[in-house]
Amino acid sequence: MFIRKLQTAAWLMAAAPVLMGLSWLVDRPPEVRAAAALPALPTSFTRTQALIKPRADESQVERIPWKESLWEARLQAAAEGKPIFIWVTGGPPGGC
Amino acid sequence: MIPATFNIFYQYSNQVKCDGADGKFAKPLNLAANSECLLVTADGRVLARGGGAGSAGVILKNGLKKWQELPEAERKPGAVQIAPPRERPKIAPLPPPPGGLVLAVYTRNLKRDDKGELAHITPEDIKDKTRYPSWDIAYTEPTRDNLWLSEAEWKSLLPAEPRKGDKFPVPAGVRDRIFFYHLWDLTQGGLEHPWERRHLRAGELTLTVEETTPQVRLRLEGSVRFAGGDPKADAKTQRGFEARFHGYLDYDPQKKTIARFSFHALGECWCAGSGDSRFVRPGRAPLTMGFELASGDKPIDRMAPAAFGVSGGVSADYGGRYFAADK
Repeated sequence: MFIRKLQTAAWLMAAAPVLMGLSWLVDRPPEVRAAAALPALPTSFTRTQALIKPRADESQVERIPWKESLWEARLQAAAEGKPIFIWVTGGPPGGC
Repeated sequence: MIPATFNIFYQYSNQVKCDGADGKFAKPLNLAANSECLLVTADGRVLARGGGAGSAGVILKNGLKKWQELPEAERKPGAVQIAPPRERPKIAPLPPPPGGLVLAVYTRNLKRDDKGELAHITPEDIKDKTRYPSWDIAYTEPTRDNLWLSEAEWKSLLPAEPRKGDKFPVPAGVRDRIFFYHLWDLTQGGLEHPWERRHLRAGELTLTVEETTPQVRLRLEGSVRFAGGDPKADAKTQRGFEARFHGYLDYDPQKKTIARFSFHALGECWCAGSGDSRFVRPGRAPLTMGFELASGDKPIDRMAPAAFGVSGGVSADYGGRYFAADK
């Protein structure tokens, strides 16, 4: 239930820039880092780990640029002329 | 809009204690209901709020409509003047420990396929409400939490003089934090039945040196079994969870950093394990937790563990039960 609500929120947040004529909300992909040359892990382990972790199309909530500090959110909202969407959670969004 | 989270379990008590400008903004919002969402202005006017299934979309639509109806003079940048706080606001969240590590924790329900292999639960599967009762999303996607380790704690995982084959236990504080605060079934959205020491029937976690150059590789292994619940309850309703751990930690001795820390707990739960009784799957159901070093690129990587709300709080100097799980 919570994740579905967050998925809806994620979709609407993506749509909001279109509604509001703003482009800054487009989520830029994380900076690509040069991967350290680490020895490979056993295939059986990586396969199981991949089964547990989110697929590329899952856990959209992780991509939202959340502010954890209400004060930081408030300062940015005032400076940029935007409202604040607050999600009251029991931990990181998408969890409890 | 600016998306923000508010952790009800440990920020709320600070909200109640707020004074001054801090309190003037936070207290009227009364952020007290888990999973509620609100759209508010920078000066604290509520445009829309609500909770329950499907509410986020409604709140956003209704709230944005109300926002657009406000006079432009009230919506333009700088219309609301706010002075930055002179000291750390009481409602500010605690950041991860300085020099510490954050591991993303994913909890996921799985199934056994026709060959007995672990597999994802599909939207087709969850039409069977006998096998998958209650909320669909609890079964098809993982939830996210964070595990925090202080600098001293992650360094305590590393042997002073690693030699291939050496095996040693994971320090009790780290082990018990994983056991008691990160093996809950957060997919069901409830923290009502966290595992406690009285439920622990067996458990061990060890690290074995596999390689010493160029990186130090440690293999993590172990197992855990929780059982019990209400001692007065029928034995048939005694919930439980048991799992086997498997993972790897790679330490770069040149950079003196942990380059990789990945492990999982592959397990089964019964009678809904640590979760809500609405989610009792028949028999023993596969439930897994995957732990992975967080990149730190995303805001969610820096958020406090869900356990802060259940562990009796955490102090600004990183004290509290979460950081003393073995006491």
